[in-house]
Amino acid sequence: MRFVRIAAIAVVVAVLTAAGGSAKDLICRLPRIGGFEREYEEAKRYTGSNATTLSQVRVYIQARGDTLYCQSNFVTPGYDNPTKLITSRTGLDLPTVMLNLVGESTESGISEPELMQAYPTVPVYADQSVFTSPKFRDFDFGDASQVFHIGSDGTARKAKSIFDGGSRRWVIEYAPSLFAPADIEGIAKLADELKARPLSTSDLRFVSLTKNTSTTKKIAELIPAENRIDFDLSSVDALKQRLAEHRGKTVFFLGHVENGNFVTYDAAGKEIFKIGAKEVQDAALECCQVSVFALGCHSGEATGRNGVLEAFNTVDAVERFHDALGAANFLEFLQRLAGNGEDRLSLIADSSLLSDTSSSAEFAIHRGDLGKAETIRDAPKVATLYYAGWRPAPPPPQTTDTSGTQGDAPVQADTMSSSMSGFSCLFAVVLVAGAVIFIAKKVGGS
Amino acid sequence: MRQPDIDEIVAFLDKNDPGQLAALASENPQYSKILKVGHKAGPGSADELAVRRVVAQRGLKRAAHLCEQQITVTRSRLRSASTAQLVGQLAAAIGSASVFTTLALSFPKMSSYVAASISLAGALFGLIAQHLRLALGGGNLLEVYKTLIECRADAAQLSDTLDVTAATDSTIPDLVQKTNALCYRINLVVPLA
Repeated sequence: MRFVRIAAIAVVVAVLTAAGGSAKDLICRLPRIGGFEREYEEAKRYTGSNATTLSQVRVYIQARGDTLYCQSNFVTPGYDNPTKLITSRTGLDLPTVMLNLVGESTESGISEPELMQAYPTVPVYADQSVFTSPKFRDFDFGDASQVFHIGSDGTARKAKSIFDGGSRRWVIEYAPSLFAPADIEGIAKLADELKARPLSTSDLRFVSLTKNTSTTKKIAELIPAENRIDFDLSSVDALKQRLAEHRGKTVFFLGHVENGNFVTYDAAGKEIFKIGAKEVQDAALECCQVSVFALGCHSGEATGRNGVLEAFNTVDAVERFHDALGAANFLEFLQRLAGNGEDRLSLIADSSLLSDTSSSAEFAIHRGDLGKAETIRDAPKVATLYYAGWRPAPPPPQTTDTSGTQGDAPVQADTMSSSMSGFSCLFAVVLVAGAVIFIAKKVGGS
Repeated sequence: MRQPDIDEIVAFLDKNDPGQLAALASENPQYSKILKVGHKAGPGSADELAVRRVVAQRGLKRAAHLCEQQITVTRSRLRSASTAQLVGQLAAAIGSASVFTTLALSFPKMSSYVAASISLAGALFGLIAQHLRLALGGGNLLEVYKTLIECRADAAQLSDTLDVTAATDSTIPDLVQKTNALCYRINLVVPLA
């Protein structure tokens, strides 16, 4: 397989070299490519000084329109400058690009097997445009383990590829334990935007949809009464009524999610309550005007691109929630939820977080450190945090008032930090338990 | 495949026999997650069933023993309550007896003191009886007693059945789930006894 690709590369090199001045496919060992001076300077920031050995090679990649710009710091023997290339070809992979950048073995002295062996550890600096470009977003980084995502702020953040059900996803750790898909524009400011969303303990409410006695006891121990909504699991209408009594609050649900529904079983295994996660979100947004998170453990479920391999322990969930209660803002809340050490979780934001007009956002919660995982099985998804009031819902289509642009406008920081009255969420889960002390102290001290 | 729940059995052992739960976790380190308090619903591997069965068996043995203990304690309290009620009712009857009206003609002061004291004692014993019949948390101790009696019988029956049923028998999941439901009932009533 590799040989076929290399052979193809050799042809590409020949064609590109022969084409010479082609604006779309060009390999250049002159100082720079005309029209790509800015890319050259940008690349130099990351590739550093020139190199003559594979162990020192660094690669920079950027997409500009229909063109992919690649540059390394490797100077092929016999030339004065590192190789640059531009191409409009799609379906390229990193080994192909590197073979072209390094040059044929007769020139570089580096054999194909040597290159194939070394490339996984070569630092690759990929501009955000590579991940977001409709044309080049499928660029194949192969087995590269040192890929860095360069955001709009110029910061190179480690990108992590996760094999998930046969496909590969790239995620960026924008804050400790917090990840986002690499194809989201605006990752650089994501942490700041989350930080701009305040959380007030007095505005948080907790609803349990589990009958487990250990969990019930833990909730009673850790969650102050004023932060709890007692619900007897009698009916969906009763739940909506209870929610309506907490207008303007952020409500967290603890329960098991199966096939998109929160389902409660009694100790005999009989289903005693069921409500669609979407229905709860809708109730939160349309009826009750409360903010609701849905953090669900997914049992018996095999849905979604993220896969669901484990369920979350309810007592753990309560302790996590308790730990997170003292957070001052949403970024801190998520990080406290993630925790540290052996029990660390990783939260991956859904791509709708910044890039669409959906009023809801979703965070996939994985057990373990995603940054160290090779496949999704190493950090299985254990829960989901739905955020039903991530941004104001789009105005209904029949409305004639054109003064509001919330429904069409891309998500901006000022949108996120706008009125917290729209901060309605539903948290349906299986995680929580240890934080009441902080609240108890706070309440006791007030 | 969905496995029978054991979360309430684990909660029961955690509270009433933590040493047993620790031993189970030590014997089955690869199943430590299902031996931790809290609910963890969802699919599980088929080999978990053997562990769940053992947890149920040990839980049942402890449950039968605990129910027996609690039944003794509860019965004692109920008897004390009955005794206190009887004494209170006797005192109330004596305190209101017409004999004191007669005695009051000769010993007005003393007879009124005695009658009032006896009436007071009757009222106090009534309160004590009422208190003894209350379960912790305000429930009815008699109902707790009845539940314990049922749980003891169910635990013995389930334990015997599980012990003689082959590990591969198709009824094992149902028996384990029933044990879980039984432990749930005990978890609710024992703190009240």
